[in-house]
Amino acid sequence: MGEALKDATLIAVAAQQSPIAGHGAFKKLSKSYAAKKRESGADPVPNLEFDGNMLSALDVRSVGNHLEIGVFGSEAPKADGHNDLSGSSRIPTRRFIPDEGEAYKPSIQQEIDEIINEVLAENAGISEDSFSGVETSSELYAVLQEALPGLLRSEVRSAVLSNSKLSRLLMDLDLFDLL
Amino acid sequence: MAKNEVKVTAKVTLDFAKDLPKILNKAVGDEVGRVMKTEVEKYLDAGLSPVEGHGKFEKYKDPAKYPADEKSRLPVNLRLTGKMRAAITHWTEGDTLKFGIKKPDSPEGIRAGAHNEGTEHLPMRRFIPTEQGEKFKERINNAVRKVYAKFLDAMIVKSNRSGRKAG
Repeated sequence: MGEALKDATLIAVAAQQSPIAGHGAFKKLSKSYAAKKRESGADPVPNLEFDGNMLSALDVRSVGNHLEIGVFGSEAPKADGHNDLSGSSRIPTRRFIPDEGEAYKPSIQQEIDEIINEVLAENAGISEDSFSGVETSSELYAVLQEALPGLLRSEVRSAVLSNSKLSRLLMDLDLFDLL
Repeated sequence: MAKNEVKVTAKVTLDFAKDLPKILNKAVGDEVGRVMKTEVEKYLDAGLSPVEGHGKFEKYKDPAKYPADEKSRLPVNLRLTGKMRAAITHWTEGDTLKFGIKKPDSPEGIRAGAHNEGTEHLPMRRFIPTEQGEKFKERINNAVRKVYAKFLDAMIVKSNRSGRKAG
């Protein structure tokens, strides 16, 4: 999941877009800086890539039961220059790491949720026995939501349809159409 | 490495194709291939390998020599003329969906193989999973699963229109 989040960030940045909700396309480079990038052989666009070291340092770490994304080590000051999480940057903000209270764009958040739900579905331990006596849609969803707690019905449906083993199981039990 | 030893195709060994073989008809296969290409292109545009276990593509060793003035030195996006990337496609062989460069001995195939495997002059920049158990990154797999989910959803809607108990 961390890798997926890092990839989504790098892909958005390469497209000169912030991956953070509330932030849009990155502000264009000043003429002088664009010229400097061009002379050095880099793309004269706001893709946050001059020597490539900062984006190569983007990392995701597991801290307790959550993930921490950031640029750590010697490239951190450069990253703060762009993100201005410290409030002291003097260059245009081009946010690619969320500040406190910020979220990723809905499309990225949805992707991450789907990946998580796929892992949950894969590891839910649902078997043929789980569906003993199920004859209606309500009964089917009761079983699935018990196995996948915390998910809305629509998310449960999505997770099952995205999981070939579960889909196959429901087809074999003639319960698939009840989804 | 002999030219015909270079492999730049991936068998799309997705669980769906294994568990629900009847689902892999032409329409599904075409959309899976299209989605894979779109997602792979996004990774390449960012100079990032789309293959699990591989990260950002290695930078050019001597950018003054190559790419010099031919293109920007970053990101390393495997695009100079665009022909190799345009040759990335999908096709079926029997019941298997394949993705990659269909003609490995073509100029594009040879170039792709050199990037994918590396040579004594080129660092490896993997962009097609090898058939030794590699796979695409999870974001790409997720996008493909959604294609199958969409087709399965349509099957349910179609079946329920013909009258099944809902409860």
